[in-house]
Amino acid sequence: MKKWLTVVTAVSLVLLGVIGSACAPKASQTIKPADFYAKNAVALQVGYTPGGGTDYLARIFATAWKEATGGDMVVENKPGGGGIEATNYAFSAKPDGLTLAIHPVANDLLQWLFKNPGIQYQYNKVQFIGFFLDETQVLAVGVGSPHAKKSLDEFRKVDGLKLGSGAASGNQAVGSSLSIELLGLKNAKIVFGIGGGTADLGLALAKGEVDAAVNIVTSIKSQYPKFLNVALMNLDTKRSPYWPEVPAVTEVVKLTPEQQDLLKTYLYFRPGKAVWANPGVPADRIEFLRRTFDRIMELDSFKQQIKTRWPVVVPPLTGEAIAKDVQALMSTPVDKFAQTIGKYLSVQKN
Amino acid sequence: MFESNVGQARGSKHRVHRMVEALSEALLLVFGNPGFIVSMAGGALAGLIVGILPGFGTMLAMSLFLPFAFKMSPVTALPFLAALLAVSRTAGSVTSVLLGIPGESVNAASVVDGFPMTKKGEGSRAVGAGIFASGLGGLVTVILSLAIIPLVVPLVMMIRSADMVFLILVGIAFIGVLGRGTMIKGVVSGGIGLLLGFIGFQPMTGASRFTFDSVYLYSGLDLVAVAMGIFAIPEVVALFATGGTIARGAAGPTAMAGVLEGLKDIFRHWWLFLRSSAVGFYIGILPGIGGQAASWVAYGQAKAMSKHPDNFGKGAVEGVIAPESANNACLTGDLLCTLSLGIPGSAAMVLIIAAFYMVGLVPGPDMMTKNLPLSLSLILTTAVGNVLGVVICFFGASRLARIALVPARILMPVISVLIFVGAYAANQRFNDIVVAVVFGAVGLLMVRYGFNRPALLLGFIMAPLFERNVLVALQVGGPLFFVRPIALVAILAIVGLFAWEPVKGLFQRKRQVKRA
Repeated sequence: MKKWLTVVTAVSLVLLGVIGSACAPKASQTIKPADFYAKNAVALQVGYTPGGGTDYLARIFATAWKEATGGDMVVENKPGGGGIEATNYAFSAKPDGLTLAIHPVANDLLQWLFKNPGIQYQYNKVQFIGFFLDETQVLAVGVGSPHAKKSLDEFRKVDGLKLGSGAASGNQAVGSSLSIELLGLKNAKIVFGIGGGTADLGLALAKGEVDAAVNIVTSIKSQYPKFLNVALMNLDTKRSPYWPEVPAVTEVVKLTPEQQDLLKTYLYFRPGKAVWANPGVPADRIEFLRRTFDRIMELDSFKQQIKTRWPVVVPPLTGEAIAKDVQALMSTPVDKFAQTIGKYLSVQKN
Repeated sequence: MFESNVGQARGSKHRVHRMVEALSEALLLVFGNPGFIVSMAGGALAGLIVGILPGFGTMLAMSLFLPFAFKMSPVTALPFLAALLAVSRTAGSVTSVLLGIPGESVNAASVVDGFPMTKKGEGSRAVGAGIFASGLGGLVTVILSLAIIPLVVPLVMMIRSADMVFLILVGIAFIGVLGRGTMIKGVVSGGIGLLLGFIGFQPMTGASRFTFDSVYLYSGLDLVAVAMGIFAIPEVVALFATGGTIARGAAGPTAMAGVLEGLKDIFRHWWLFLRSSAVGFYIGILPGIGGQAASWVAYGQAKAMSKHPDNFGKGAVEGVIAPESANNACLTGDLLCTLSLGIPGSAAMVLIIAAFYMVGLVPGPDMMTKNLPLSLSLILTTAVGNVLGVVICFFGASRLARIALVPARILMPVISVLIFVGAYAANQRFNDIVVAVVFGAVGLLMVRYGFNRPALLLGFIMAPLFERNVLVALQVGGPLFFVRPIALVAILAIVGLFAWEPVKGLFQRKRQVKRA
């Protein structure tokens, strides 16, 4: 009798366990996002080594996350492939909302534009949480250039200008190409390979190895006036709030309709940083993340920490807004843009 | 044109007065502020742990500390980092000489002669020479840096991309020609190192080279994994094969006596020490080159100018003094360049700059004008950090030197774990462990067939910088980009290096014929 009881009890327990686990509702149905994120640490992937702008922003978010949610956020640096490694990793992570990525939108889109074979993500499928610190790029002339004191009109007449840039498939290179197209610079060329970052570019400008450079406003401004003499124009249809003294390109150059199209397409390649989660993360968690990041931007501690590096903080875009922009770009034909810009770049076609 | 854009003090008298004032404030900040001292001590301790553990690099430690910097003031966060950087390089020499594993990548050059010294039973002497050379090299160059602050910017601006191409080749040629094995094998090793360094994206075209469509290889091979593999794994295998202990033969002097003997060696070779510190300091001022190159170039010049160059590679104490005095001197130069220009000269300085932002300071051209006292205090902190590092390592050295007497069956598994954890810790990528193993095999083959491992590693380290400068120099200056004074002198130096052995041999043969 005892034996039978033991067997029946054991079998019942097993059956109950099996039935119970089958009936268990999905995590997001039983646990609220707020509780979920209070109890589980989020890993924020950064595709660069520590210390740069994206990493710095990630660390400020991580510090503020605790205040906003009570939970932990850990920054994980995964440098490699110009950020591709981190993006690939985040895209294929478990879709539980605990792995996020922060990365300049322009960089991910440019990899798509130039069809980099290493991409294992579909950028139009990521779930954007928010888009922060959008900036435009500025064309500036170095102190070492013989053309340092020229006005924009005089600068446009110079034959054989050299613009410094990093990698051929980077945002700097695309901005340089666009500048050459919009200004009609005669026989201008882009000198690639300058930089491991702003430091090399600043030195090349000061030494006169290159005449000018295009880079994001905050980077260019940090080099002024030690390495740069004057910023000629902002590659946008309006002035940058980071440097309102610099005129927009549309103010100083009368653009043809083709040039306007080029500029419009270029502006989709935003250097600002997007935070996103991979496809499959439940909608309630995405919504929670979006609201939390919005709340973080309003925290006094966050505002104080961010202002040393970004004295002016433009309002962020919502996840939905940046997703719309990305979708719009990825659905329109960009061959003409790639062709026009690509003629100044020696990018290997894949 | 450069200076006209920066606020200038009127007259040299005013500048000197301003400097003296700022130095006094800096001294007060460093020695008069308990928070500063405590933070420095904390950084020194962290640097000791980080330096001793191979592969657990300074970069990782600094990035772990960064989130805490938000909540700290400048006088607590920055000295912690500066002391951590200084002491980690000193402590790294201990692992390099005792275990043959570079504690930090900048200590790799010390393995070449330091580890053979340990095998000969002179481990404590090697440790003493390493820690004192490292600490004193940093200290001496701090004094130098305070004197040459106004010259830093002109020194940096003098060197163009074209010059950098040939300066890098001089460094590789030094090691390739003067290292172990034949000249041909040395040059081939350096060349292979350069080729390995080209794996990844080509900076100009964006094309991927030798990546086999692997995202892992897009940014090239990891330095820590390669260094661990090339140097550390062959030593572990040798230990496994021979058994016994690292120290063979006679026990040598007592540990403390040995460490002090190492200190005396620095005074015996004082000119080498000063020269190597100067080399390291100047390389540190030039942005982008880094401590690894500084220590190898210092090693190369030590051998080139030695009366007994054949002793190098077999346990010559000069082979420890030169690279160790250069690597901390390089840090001082690096810090000075970063503060003077307001831009980071190395990866470690990128983190220092980030820390500036985190504590509410905006780094930039004002660091040496408006914020001069704080900048000087950071430079002084590296000096104090160097002294702290020497003191801490000195008292630990005699105990640590006994590692050389631990049986291989106990030591080998521990070292193996440290190697693989170290290779993984830098980027948390499993593939780095695979790379370490592969290069372990490469290192074994190189040892077996007499190829020059340091030349390969230096070529690998310098490849990205070399290529970038070649591309820029060609784009800016055309095919005759090398027609510049500094570049031409460097070319002559390379020709001289290659011609040295054959010419020396010719003269020796002529002398023998004459005697006969």
